[in-house]
Amino acid sequence: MSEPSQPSGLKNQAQELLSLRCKRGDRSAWEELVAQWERPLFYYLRRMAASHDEALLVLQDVWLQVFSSLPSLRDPKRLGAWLYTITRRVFIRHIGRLPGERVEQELSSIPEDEPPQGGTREDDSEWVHWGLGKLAAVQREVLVLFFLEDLSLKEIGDLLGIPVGTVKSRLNKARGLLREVLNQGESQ
Amino acid sequence: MNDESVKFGQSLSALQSIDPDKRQGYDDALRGLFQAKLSAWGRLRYLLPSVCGLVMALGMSTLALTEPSSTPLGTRLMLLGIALIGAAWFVICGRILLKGSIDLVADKRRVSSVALVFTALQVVAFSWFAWSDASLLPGLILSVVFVILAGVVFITQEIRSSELRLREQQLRALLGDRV
Repeated sequence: MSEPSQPSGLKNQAQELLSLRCKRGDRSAWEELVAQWERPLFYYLRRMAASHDEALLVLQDVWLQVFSSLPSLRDPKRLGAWLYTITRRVFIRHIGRLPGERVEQELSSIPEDEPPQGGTREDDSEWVHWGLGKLAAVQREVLVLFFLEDLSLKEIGDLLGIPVGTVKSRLNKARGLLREVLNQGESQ
Repeated sequence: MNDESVKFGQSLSALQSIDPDKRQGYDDALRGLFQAKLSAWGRLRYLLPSVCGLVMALGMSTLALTEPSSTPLGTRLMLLGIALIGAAWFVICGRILLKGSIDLVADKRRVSSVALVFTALQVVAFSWFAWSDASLLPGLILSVVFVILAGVVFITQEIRSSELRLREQQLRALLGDRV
C-alpha cells in the first residue's frame, strides 16, 4: 500500500469509502483498490503458494471473485478482512485442501536465501521475510496475517476458522519459532 | 496497529512483488475484468438484438407516421415508444459490436436499463389495450401485479443506493482532503 500511514480510524473510513465507490461501479475506485491491495495480497499468496506463478494465477482469480462479489459486501468497513477471506478461499479452492495440509515438499520453491546482513532481526522486515520462509505453512500464514494487516485476533480467527484462543497460541508458538530461526540465522 | 507496524507491514510486502516479466500478462488479465472481448458467439448475441432493434425502429416509426388519421394518439405514441426502444437496442448493441468488447460495468448497466424499460413499456401497452377489451382483464391484472412487484424491487434498490450514497458523502466530508 503506497499511501502514507494513517491513524486506524481514518484508514478504516478511507477503506469504507473506497469499497462504497467500488460498489457504485466507479472504475477509478476499482483501480485504486487493486493498486492498494495487490502487494499485501500477493505477499500473502506467495508465502502460501508453491511458486510465484501459482500465486499470480490465484491472485487473478481473487480479483475476479472480488469484482463479482464486492457489490454484495454487507459491511464495507471490513474490506481488508473480507479481501483476505476471499483470497484464502480462492487459494484453498485452487489447491484443493487447507494450506497446512499441503505436503511441505511442494512448498520447497520458497528460495533457500542467505540470511540478510545487519538489521535488528525481529524489527527488520528483511530478516522477518527470510525467517518466514523457514517456517511451516500453518505458522507462516498466521504470522503473515499478523504482520501485514490491521486484523484483530477475532478477524484472524474468523478468517482461519479457528477460535481466538487458538489464534493466540498459534501466534505465540509461531513467534517463538521465528525468533529461534532468526537467532540461528544471525549466528551463521 | 500503530504507524510503525503499518510501515513494517508495507516494507515486508515490498520484499516479494510480482515478477516484472509476468506483469504484462497479469495486467492484461485485470483489464479483462472490465473489458471482456467478444467471442464469435458473443458477437452473434449482440448482432441479433442490434439488427432487430434497427428493424423495430424503422418499422414502428414508419407505422406511427403513416397510420390513418383516425388512429388514436395513444397508439401512435406507443408505436413511437417502441421505435425508440428499438433505436436504443441498435445503438447500444451496435457500439459493443464495433468496439469488439463489452465494458462489464457501463455497458451491462445500459443493456439492463433498456431491457427494463422495454419490459415496462410492454406491460403499459398491454394494460392500455386491456382497458377497451374485457376479455383481456386477467392479463391486465397480471400486468399490474408485475408492475407492482417490479416497483417494489426498484424502490428497495433505490433506498439501498441512497443509503450508500449518503454514507459516501458522510465519509468524504469526514476525510476531506485526505481522500
